[in-house]
Amino acid sequence: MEREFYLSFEGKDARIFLQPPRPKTREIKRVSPNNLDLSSVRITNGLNALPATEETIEAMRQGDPEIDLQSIGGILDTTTRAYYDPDTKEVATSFQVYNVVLNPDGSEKERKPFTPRHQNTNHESNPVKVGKLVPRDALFRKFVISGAFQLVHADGVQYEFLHGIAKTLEDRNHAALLGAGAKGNAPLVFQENGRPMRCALTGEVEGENYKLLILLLGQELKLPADRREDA
Amino acid sequence: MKTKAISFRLGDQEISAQLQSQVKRSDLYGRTAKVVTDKDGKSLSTGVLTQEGRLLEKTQFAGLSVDETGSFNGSAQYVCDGEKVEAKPASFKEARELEKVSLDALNEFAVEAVYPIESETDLAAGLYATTFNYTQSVEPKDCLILVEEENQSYLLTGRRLEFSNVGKAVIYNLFDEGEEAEEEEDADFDFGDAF
Repeated sequence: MEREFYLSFEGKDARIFLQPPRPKTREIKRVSPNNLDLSSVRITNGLNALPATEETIEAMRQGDPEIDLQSIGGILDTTTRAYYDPDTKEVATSFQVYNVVLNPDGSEKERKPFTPRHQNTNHESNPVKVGKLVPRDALFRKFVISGAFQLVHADGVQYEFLHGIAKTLEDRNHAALLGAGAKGNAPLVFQENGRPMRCALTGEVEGENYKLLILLLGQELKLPADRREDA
Repeated sequence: MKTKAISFRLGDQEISAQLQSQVKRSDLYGRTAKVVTDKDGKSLSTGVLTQEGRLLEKTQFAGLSVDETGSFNGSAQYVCDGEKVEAKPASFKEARELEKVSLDALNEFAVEAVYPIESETDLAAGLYATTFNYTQSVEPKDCLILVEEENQSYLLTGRRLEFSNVGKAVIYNLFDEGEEAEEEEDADFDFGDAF
């Protein structure tokens, strides 16, 4: 994930740094009854994938071609993803990828060719813009926060910039909505082909210290339409 | 609407409630699925190619836990700092303690699941902290319950995040290298009507 973050606030902008939350101090791990650490491996189970043909059916009458005793328990180390025809079991040498957008009820809304989503939080010319200010409490009641990053500085000028934003937000007890792209209204994409996220900025100040957090807004805090009718 | 009975303790008071089923993002906005087709439009399946060039379908391999000797018999155990950790029963089987906290606790909390909840006992509006595990677990999740007077109340499970105040000097934490990209999904809401 890109560590630099290009941010614009009230006509000034700077490339600062994203920092994740501190890791958990208490780690629970799985061990065997002998108290040895456990790790996960993938193994082959000895099943042969056969095409659904008359020849296969006939072969299964005569023997057990669906079982490959030679390959049972083989550890899979390095593998690559492959797409294949489910009927012939042949690897496809050319294919097309589509994104199918599904409605909440599972019905298809639209289908479009896959286009990669590009990271936009450290764009060469379009900073992430600090937009509308909203009451902090209202933000917490309307949206589900699914994660957060901290913005930190690397030099004195960046420190003044970030400390100033945090103080502005704290003084007003507001959060700020963030938008990426040329118009400053697109969701944020933190890494190539990453999930686009709506985000907000909150700030706190304690003397010279500050805490400026980017909150990832996973969904709205509300019931689906069909459950609202039942309620 | 099917619900599950759950109870909590706030001081000496026993609070009983009904927990509804989870509200997922896909329930609100739908989701995006990736479909791979050949040039004729026929859907293709996904498998893996081994280093030897052999194609394996998903049904042809399985995940297994092994120790350094190569395998193990019996059930895995859980330890923390060398001490064995016992599983806690599901939250529906015992009343967990509630602690009233400031709404600001949501500022440093990553929500993983959202459950609508209806309290059957009078509980003042506000935010309450507790732990929650839907099934028996060695590591119950952190949990915040947002109780509203006029609107729907929600039980939010996830984990507390920890951030430090930043002074003029900064100690950097490095991101883990090699993070995989998350499954892509359209962000089907914007801020247009929210505020």
